[in-house]
Amino acid sequence: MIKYTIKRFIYMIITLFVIVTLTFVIMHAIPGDPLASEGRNLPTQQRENLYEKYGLNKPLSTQYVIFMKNLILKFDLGESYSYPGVTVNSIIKEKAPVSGIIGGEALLFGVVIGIVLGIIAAFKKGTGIDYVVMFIAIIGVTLPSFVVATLLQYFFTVKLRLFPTTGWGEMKHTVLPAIALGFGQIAIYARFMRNSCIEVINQDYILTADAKGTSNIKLVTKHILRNAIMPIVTMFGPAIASVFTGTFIIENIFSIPGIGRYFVSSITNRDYPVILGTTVFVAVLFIISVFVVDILYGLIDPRVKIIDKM
Amino acid sequence: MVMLAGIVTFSVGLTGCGSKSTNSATTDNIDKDQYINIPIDKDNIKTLDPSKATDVASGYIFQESMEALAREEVKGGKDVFVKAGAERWSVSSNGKTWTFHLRKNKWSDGKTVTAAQYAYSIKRTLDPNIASSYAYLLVGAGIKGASDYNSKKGTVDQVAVKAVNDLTLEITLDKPCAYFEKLLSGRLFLPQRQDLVEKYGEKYGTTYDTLVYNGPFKITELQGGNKVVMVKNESYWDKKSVKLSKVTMPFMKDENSRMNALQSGEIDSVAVNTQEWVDKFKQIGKFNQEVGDQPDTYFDFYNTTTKYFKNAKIRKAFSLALDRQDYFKLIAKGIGKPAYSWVPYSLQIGNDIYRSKVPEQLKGSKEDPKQLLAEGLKEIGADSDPSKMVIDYLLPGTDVSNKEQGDYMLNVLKTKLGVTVKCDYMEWAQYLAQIDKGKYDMCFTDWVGDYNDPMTFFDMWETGAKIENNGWSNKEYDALIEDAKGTMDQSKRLEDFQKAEKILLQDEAIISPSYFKGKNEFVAKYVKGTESPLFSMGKELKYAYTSGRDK
Repeated sequence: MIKYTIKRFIYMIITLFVIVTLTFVIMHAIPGDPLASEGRNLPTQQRENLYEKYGLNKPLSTQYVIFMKNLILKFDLGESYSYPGVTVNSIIKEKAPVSGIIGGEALLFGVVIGIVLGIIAAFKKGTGIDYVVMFIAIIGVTLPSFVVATLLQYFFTVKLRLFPTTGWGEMKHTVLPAIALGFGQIAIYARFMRNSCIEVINQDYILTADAKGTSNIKLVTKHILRNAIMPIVTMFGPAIASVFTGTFIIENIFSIPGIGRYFVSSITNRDYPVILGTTVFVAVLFIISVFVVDILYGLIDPRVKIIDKM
Repeated sequence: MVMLAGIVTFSVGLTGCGSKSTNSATTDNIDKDQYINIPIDKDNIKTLDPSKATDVASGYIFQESMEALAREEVKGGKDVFVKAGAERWSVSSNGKTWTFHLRKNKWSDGKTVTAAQYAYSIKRTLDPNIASSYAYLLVGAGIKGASDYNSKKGTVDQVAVKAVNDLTLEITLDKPCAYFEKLLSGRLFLPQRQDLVEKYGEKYGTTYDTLVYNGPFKITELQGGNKVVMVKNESYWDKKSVKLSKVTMPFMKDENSRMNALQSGEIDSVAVNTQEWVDKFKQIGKFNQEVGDQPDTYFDFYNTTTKYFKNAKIRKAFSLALDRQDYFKLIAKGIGKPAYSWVPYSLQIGNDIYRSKVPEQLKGSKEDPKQLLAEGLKEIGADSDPSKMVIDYLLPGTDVSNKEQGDYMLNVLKTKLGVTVKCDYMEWAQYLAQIDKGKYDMCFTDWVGDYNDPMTFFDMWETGAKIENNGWSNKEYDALIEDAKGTMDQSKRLEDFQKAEKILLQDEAIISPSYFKGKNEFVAKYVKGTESPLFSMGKELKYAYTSGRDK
């Protein structure tokens, strides 16, 4: 187990290294730089001072080495160009949890309702209920989240005055954004759960258990669910990572002070430290959650022997 | 102010025409609870450091929480510069030395506002290590020693800004500056606290608690992406004029969110740019519509180093091909005014409105664009067939409004002139890089003035100004601008600017103005006492109050 963990850890470091390097190269390859707008009105000397202050006049390889050194030795992701004096670390520390709350609520919302709907559809396969559930699923997938968000906002804040249109700070501020974000996810989980359940129900061992006289409840919970949930668990890895990345659009619409908008605005502004910082953040989350999921696999499904895989 | 990406909208003020400046003291039936909610249409401000903040959102926050030497207000339907941080000032007979006598005022932490703090602020903005994007305005005004200090050729002690005593500030210029007074209400002349700058170092301005406030309100909360909250500043010298006890400015970048929030009553005022929402709010009937001007001109400009656009007749042909009325209806959606000239309406020269003295040059032009084009092509010895011309049109954004702009111009130039236009949509950073490299034929953008004088629209086209890299240099133009810079005689300056505008638009036609941006706001009927001077960054709230909110 330890050997496996260490091996995976090394792979993770290598993957991270490749991701960061690629991002660094690509972002410098796009034309434009963060100070183009600021530097326009400055006399030449001043413009050079500005570039020097941010270390942008050094050769790329030097900038890369400086960044990597700060990252590895001090976990320091640098300072933003768009927001003077604000460190990337502080941006992540303050904003990521906010996105995390919305994302977490949305995930919970999507997963729970999705799984329940999927199970119902599977057991009522071929009936009207099945079609209704799948119809909802298709709507959820095709409707873009900002359409759902705007509709929700209009109905529940203008027409019904139940929730605030925007803002952050209390529980009531999280409801509409979470639903808007989670709505599309219901569809995905419902569909997967339904198909997985159907497949499992048709297995021989279910027939055996049923023939043995297992109660329906035990049949569903002990045998069917546990096997059918595997594909959902696979999806959990990336899903956890995406919880924190937030979505730019939902955060804009509901004025949520999360990290989502930094992903997009940093690219538009060519704010290199923030681009790299947010990428590192997501990459680390993703890699770790995939690793955790793999371990979970081994725990849930005895057929998957993690230790033997060494 | 630096160019904005074409489609950025912000709540900038306006004058007179139709706006109700109800700042008379009819405070009967004033609500018990005085608060107001006004949205900021961005998701965050850049910084609260006055020397580094270049965005409009931070400008609005400074307007309400800080006080510069002067304050722009509306009196009798006209923009005026009211004595604020300074209670009076005078200029020496040679026009070079300005003396400001400060008012007794305190910061929100109880300390006195002193002349040294104003001096410190100006010098800090000029500091080459701060590399402020606004230093050029101080240099351009001709403050003695400013240029040298800013370009590292001189020291800070040589900058002729000094605190004679706690309440007297003296600024010496190299030569008289006719628009100097117009700068006094801006962020350049806000005082700053050296003790706080030194205490917080790089963190100064990153959070609201690294500053103190000397304006009508002080900030008690600022969460990027969420909202800004201000309360009445009890240390402010004129606090008896301030009726609001709380101001909330939520960040609302999404247009639909803002519209929904106005309907639900969560905000009290919003700028509206689409016809459907205008109709809807008119129909609801609970709002007053306020329209007016902004100091913002949208225009195309030409790269005068390229094959075709080095010829003035060809440039003019392109400029005249535009049907500005039609464009105004379709693309500007009827908000603002079509631009037949360069300097926007309501902009002042001295105490007059420039546009009321200078008629719009391109209006009623009888010249035939097609013929001009033919003549131009002949002059450069190119093929007389316009369809052989392929023009690269650079646009500063990849969103819907830029697409509309590109499509419209493509169509117009094809039908009116027969030329082929290739639209190049770019993100802002890339767009700027492209212009600096000179890799374009024609470009669309806008220019927002920095202060209430025509000079802010003219000195950008001087040789060596480097604001827009269009390769144009004209000695006659330069001479006119230098003359306008060197005199205090406003009628002489008016003459110079009028001639200069003619060169820009008619003789040389280096730019083709499309429209003057306007302001269109819907304000809840219970909001009273707000003002919107031309260069304000948002509704002036100092005298605002609500009456009848919960009816």
